[in-house]
Formats: sequence, structure tokens, C-alpha cells
Amino acid sequence: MSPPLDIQLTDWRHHALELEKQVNQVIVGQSKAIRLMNIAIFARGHVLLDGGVGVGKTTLLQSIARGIGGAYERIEGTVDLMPNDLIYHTFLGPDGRPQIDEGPLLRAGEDLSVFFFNEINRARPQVHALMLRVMAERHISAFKKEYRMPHMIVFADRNQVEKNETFEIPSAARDRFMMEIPIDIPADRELKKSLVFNTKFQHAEKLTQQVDSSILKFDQLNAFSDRLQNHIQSSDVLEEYTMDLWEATQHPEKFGVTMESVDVSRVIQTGASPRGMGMLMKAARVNAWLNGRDSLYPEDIHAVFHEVISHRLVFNAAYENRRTALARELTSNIIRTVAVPSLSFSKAA
Amino acid sequence: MQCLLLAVSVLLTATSSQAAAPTLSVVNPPSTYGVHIGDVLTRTLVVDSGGDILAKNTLPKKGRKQNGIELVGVAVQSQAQSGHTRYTVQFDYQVFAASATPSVMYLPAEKLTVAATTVDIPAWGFWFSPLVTGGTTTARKNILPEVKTPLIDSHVHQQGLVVSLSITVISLLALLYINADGQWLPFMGGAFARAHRQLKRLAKSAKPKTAAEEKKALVYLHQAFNQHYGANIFARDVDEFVRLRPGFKGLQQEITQFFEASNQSLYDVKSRDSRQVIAQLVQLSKRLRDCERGVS
Repeated sequence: MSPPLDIQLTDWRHHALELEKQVNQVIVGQSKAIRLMNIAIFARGHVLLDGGVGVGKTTLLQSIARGIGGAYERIEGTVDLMPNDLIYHTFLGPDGRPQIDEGPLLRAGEDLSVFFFNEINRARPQVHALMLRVMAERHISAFKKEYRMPHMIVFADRNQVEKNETFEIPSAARDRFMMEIPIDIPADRELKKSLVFNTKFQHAEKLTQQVDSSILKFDQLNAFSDRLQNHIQSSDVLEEYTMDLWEATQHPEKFGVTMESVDVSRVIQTGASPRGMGMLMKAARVNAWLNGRDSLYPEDIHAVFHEVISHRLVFNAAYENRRTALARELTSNIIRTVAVPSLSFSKAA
Repeated sequence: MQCLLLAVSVLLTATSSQAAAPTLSVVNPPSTYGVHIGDVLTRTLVVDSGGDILAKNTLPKKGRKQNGIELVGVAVQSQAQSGHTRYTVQFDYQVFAASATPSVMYLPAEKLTVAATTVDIPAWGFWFSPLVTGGTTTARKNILPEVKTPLIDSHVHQQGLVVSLSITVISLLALLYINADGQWLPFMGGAFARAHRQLKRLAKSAKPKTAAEEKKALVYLHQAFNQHYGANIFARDVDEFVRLRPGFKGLQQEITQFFEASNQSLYDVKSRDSRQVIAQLVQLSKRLRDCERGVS
């Protein structure tokens, strides 16, 4: 017999915050990214990481994977990577005969909890297609049987600096990721000095080992996530506000949203998708739960709005080159401008 | 009394060249103007006659009238000194002229006889000033208006009145500015003043308050905050709001509590006592309005 829901919620929150705390101790200056990744874990969403080289993404992921428990797998995106490379690889066995072994996607079976796709945009679209299908369905057929990966969360990294031999992830594919989380170099000078001069940060494996293993039970996350999502309530005011936000991603000019350097009515080709808005609410509910609430507040939406929405926005081609900056400005201005609570709601009520 | 002494040396016409010539000094009246009818003018003659004797019977007779001037007094005094005699003769003339306009008149010339010598006293001219310059027509012209009754200087009192009235008006305006709900003066139409008016209207009705009215009340106040902040404001922005609007710093705790309560009211599913919430919002909006007007 499982304990009452409120006790489960409290226990899981305790574990979630403990995971955050321990990861924050080994990865400094990334508390916001760690909170967002924690949210993604409990919202069961895949994550696109956006950051430069050597900022500690791998260490961060390994630390989180250790805290979640389960298996951690990783693959490097290259221009010659083929879909099969995710499924199996061949080699000569001790007896000199060719053998086939399961690839990184299948190797851990149902124990796979974190799959890290490094530089996903270096891989070909065929690989993207397979990966995105697995992300959506969490199972794949191979070797004449069905492999299930029900607990897997994909963390993918994009190389945003180099454009040669890269394949841009199309908007439909980006939409499969719940969040795009920036991993930036810490702004604080003391933290940067610590990263450079404190030798403990130069041993990634030792750092990772400092996080307790299996703080969370990876194979119970799906079930708990469902209970969590059902538990957090949203009022009609907040639902109206969410609809306003959604509409504002499509027609920002209707809400008086402006942007400094561009005509806002010409920037957006397509706003957030229904799936994107659904993911926004899932992530916001987790944020409310982490803050000890049973109801959604606008602050919960704001906490994840940029990371959930910005990579889903489709800009007109002329503005794609400035996507990162424009998306940040647009989402910030939407939050600043779309009123909550609004009088239109009160009149309707 | 000042006297103008005119000393005239008169060369006496002497019939005898051997005798010593008498000397004469004449003291005329002091002023040649401003003489009115009835005034008495006095001429004093001082004659040093040597050893000769003044013939008193040659002096003019008292009562003689000539050209409006009457000789009203003749007095002679003599003083003998070693070998010669000094005679002091005083003629008093009274003016009886009938001229209606200022005119020149003369005390008549006189003659004194000392032994065989005649001493000539020249006439003395002066301006006669009539007391009345004309008839009633002229008098009417010359009538001066009566001196006005001196007024009490009310300048200080007027200033006091103006200052008092000004203070009263300013005080009334200040009271109006502080307490009035309406937008009767400039700077009274702030966002919180408007919210307070709307909330008071909402709170007035005796009907039981619904959740929708409670939310409407919250919207009024949120709108006022948004207007002051220039964007949507949430609980996390309260510090920044107070930094931008230091006038509200005194209510920072209440503002934070408002946002917490608003979140519970708007987003929590639990119901609250709407009447009490609205009443609290009316009070809070009044305090916020005071901050807005800078009178808290």
C-alpha cells in the first residue's frame, strides 16, 4: 500500500531538493540550469542544452544521472553517424567471428535514465529522425524484439558556434524537446576564479562521485510525475492568462508587446504549439510543487516560460540569425506586457 | 525783530558853508511787501546835528493823510553830547488804502529843518497787499476744499487678511488633496486614487460579495501597480518597485502581503471571505493613494 499523496509529494520534494543541493555543490554557478533540469526530470521532458565548449555540461549531466539512478549513456554527433550506430555496433569477437552488440540506446534496456546526445546538430537528419521518434515513443524495434526505454530522458547539446558540417534541427524536431536550457559561464568573478584555480573542479569523475547515487528512484519517476501533474491545480484566472500568453506568442502585437530593434509583427512566423503549451504547464506544475504549492501561480509559468517556449518559436527567415537574442527579448516582453489578472477576465466572470 | 538798517548819508544842502553838515540815518520798515490795510509802518530818522537845533515846528503833523497813508504818530527824542546833539525822530504811518489789487504805495517824502539847513527824507515804496482780492466770484474761486478726514492705514490689515485667506484656501486645498476621492485637482487622478474610487464603489453595495467581485477588486489594484511599475508586476518585483518608487517604501511589507494574498485569491482553489478581502483592499488602496500623493 502506497503512502498518502501528500506524504509522497513531501518526500519526493525532499529528494528533489536534495538532488539539486548536491549537484549545486559540485557544479557551481549553474543553480538556475540545475533547477530547470530538475523540473524537466519531474515533468518527464527532454532537454536541449545550449552552451559553449567546456562549460561543464557533461559533468553536470553525469552528476544528475548519478542522482537519478539508472544508466547513463552518451553518443557523439558526427557527420558520418548513422541511425544504426545508435542501435548496434559490430566487432570481431575473441573467436575471430563478427559479432553484434547493442548500441548505446539499447545497451541499458529499461534501466536507461539519461541519454546524452552531444552535438546533435552534427548528426544527419536520418539520425535526428530516429532519435526524435525514440524520444516521443520511448521504445524501438530491433533484433526482432521491442526495446522499451520508459524512464529515458534525452539531453542533447547543440554546437551553436560552428556551422560547417552541421544540420540544423528543424522546428518540428525542436518542438519535441521540452526545454532548451542555456548553460553559460558563471558571471561571478569569484566563481570563475574558483573554476580555474580550484583543482577539485578539474577532476570531473571525482566531482560526480560526490553526488549520492540514486537520490531519486528513476523507475518511479513516471508514476510520480503523473500523480504530481494531476495534483497541482490551476484556477480559471491562470488558465485565461495561459491562453493570453499562448496567443501572445502568435500575435504579440495584439497585446501591445514591442521589441526594441524590430517590428514585432514581422518577427513571428509561428508561435508556440499546443504541445509546447502543454509542456509549459507540465513544467510550471513541477515548479509549483518544488515551491511547496498545490496551485499554479503566474510565477511558475514565468520560471520556465523562456526555456520552454523560445526554441519553439519559428521566426521569419530574416530574423533567424538573431534567434537567441530576439527570442529572449520577445519572451521577456510578453511576460512584462500580458496583464494578469486582467479586467477582461473579471468582466467575463 | 529784525530790522533792515539802511544808512543813507545825505549830503545836506547847506545855506551856510561854514556850519558843520548834519548827518542822517534812516531806518525803514523791515519788509517792502505783505503790507495790509491797518498795518502801522514805522520810519526812524537819526540826525546828528552838530550844535544846531532841530526845528520841531517844521515836523509833519500827526493825522496827516496822503495817498491812503495816515501819519498816526510823531515822536522826537534828543540826546546832547559834547558839542553836538543827536535827534531821533520816529514817524508811524498807518495804511488805509482801498485798492483791491496789489499795488505799490509810498511812505511820503519828508523834510527836516536843522537850523538853516533842510534835510530831505526820500519817499519809501512798498507793495500793498489787499486782504480781499476781489468780490464773491473771486472768493469762490479761491475757496479751498476742506482737508479730508485722515483715514486709518489699513494696508497692514489688508495684508493680514490676504495672508489669512491664502492660508485658509491652501489648507482647504491640502485637505482636499489629502482626503478627497474625486479628481478635483491636478495630481489627484493617480492610478491608486482611481483604484480606491473603484474599490469604494465596489464595496458600497450591500449585496453579498462574490468571488468574481473579489477578483475584480484585485484587478483594480493590480492595474494600479502595473501602471506605476510600467509593466506587469509580481511578488518577485516588489523590491524593484519600491526602489523605483521610494514613496511606497513605507508600505513594502503590506505590498508584499497583498501580492501573496492576491495569489491565493486568484490562483488558489480555496475560497475566501470576499467581503472581508474587498474591505481590506479599500483600506490598502487608500494608504497606497496617500503614498502616491506623497502625504503618507
